Amino acid sequence: MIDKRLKILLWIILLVLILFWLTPIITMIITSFSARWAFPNILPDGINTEAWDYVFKQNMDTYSSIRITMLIAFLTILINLAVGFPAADALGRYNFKGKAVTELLISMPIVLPPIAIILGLHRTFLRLGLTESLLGVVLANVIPTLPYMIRALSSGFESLGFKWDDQAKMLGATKWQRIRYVTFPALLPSLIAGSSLCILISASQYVTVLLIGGGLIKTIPVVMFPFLSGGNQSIGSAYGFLFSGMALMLLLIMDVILKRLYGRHKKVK
Amino acid sequence: MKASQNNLRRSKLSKPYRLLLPSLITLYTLIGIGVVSAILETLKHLNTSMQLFSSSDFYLSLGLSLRLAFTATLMAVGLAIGLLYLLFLLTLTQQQKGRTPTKNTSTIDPSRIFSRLFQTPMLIPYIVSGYLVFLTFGQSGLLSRLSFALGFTDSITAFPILVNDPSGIGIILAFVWKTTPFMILMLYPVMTSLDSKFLDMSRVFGMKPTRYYWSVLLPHMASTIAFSGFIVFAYTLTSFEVPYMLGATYPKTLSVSAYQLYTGGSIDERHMALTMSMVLFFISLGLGYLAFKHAQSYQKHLQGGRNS
Repeated sequence: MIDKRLKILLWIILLVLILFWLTPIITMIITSFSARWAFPNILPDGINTEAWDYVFKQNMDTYSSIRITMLIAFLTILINLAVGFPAADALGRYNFKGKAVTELLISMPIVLPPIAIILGLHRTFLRLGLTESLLGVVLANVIPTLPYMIRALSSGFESLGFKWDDQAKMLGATKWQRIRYVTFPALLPSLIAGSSLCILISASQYVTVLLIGGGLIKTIPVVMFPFLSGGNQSIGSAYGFLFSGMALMLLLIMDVILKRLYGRHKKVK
Repeated sequence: MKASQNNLRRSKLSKPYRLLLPSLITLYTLIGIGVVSAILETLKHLNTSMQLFSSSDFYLSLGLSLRLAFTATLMAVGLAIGLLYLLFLLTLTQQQKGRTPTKNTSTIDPSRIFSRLFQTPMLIPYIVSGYLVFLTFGQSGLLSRLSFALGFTDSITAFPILVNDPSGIGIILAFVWKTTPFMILMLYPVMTSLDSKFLDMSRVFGMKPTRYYWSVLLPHMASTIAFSGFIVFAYTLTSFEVPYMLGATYPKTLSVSAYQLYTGGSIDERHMALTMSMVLFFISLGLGYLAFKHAQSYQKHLQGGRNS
């Protein structure tokens, strides 16, 4: 009887899931491989890779946009780590006056929409010569990503505490040894989470890159947007699939690399 | 020796502040540049900027943004609560199954798998989620084809306009599609964090699982529901890409009008756009402040509960 109930439940959930959340994704994947999909037909009129040929062979912007998107995400992470690592330590392991306010200040950009800051930022960057430059886009990307990096790392610091650090210190470990063998391994999961979020957020910025990049910095969203808003549906789907797949792949690759590093570190121990 | 110890102590006192400085300076220099420049521009051209507040289009946009965000948030919260209820029942039946003599430790918790599956849309970028709604709910989309095949509609135009429509149904759909998984991501760990002792106790007192969900688990999650609902509201209220792609030419949401006024070309419109972006800024600032205040009082509440 319980099994029956379980099964019914499973089916209800599966149905909701498939109908509303997965059907659109599957439709997009199929559309990207369809030759033509005239209106009343439930299935595409034929399968081919024309749209993918266009994306990878005819449109030269595709490869360069992937490169530039990854470069921007990477640089954003570097800046975030450089300035965010100590802040995460402070929020995770210290109690101090004004901590609540500081947490508020650090987290605030999460709810600030790019459009609210970017117009003013664009005006000033124009004067400073930072528009149409990689640095300008990276700096603008730091605003929405840094809070996530700090929050992810600070939760790592919080669970790490001081005890392992103190123990290592007692055993005579230097500051760098402690960072290398205590802090870094302990923070690895937080680092993976924080960096992954940074990549996802940085790579999906559209209006920021469009304005600050002035149309010269062509990241994937900038290149694909015209196809998504009223262009060829197969090409739009191919770009949409490619972009989502890349987001997923980047996360997986990062996960695997860092976990392997972690595993090797464990073996050495 | 004594001096160095003194140094150590003093540095320890100010250490967290020193550690925080680089982040705070970086963030608030960048945000400050954006905000101050927009405010200065507004003040410098006060007359043209204030025209914004006497134009009916502005209020129309504000109303549309508010309505879309409110509807989407309500729907996302409702859907999340409903889906979590199903996931809860699923865990329950699984637990009962586990209590039978054959204890199979390798069985995977289906509720966890489903909660993961529901989170896949979070990996789909916002822009793409808008496109998915267009592919599925547009007049030439999958739903329209299905309704044609089933005989509900007899032509492409007979299918209701759900995308790029003035009432913003497509935008709401995209928001709900994207934010419900976020709600589940936030709420599922909270739901499962409650000690199963409470469930056992509720059983002792003869409480039905359904009642347990609505009167124990839901209040347990209430604060997180309010918090993540707030985040969803603040996000959808000012989000740009989805309304830019799925919105009608008229009326436009605040964010889309701000962008189009800014890039429109006329200098007067540029000033109005900057003023509009300040309206967006202060709205999100206010909402954000409320959300985090709420979260912090909730944390204090939790700590207080632990101490007593």
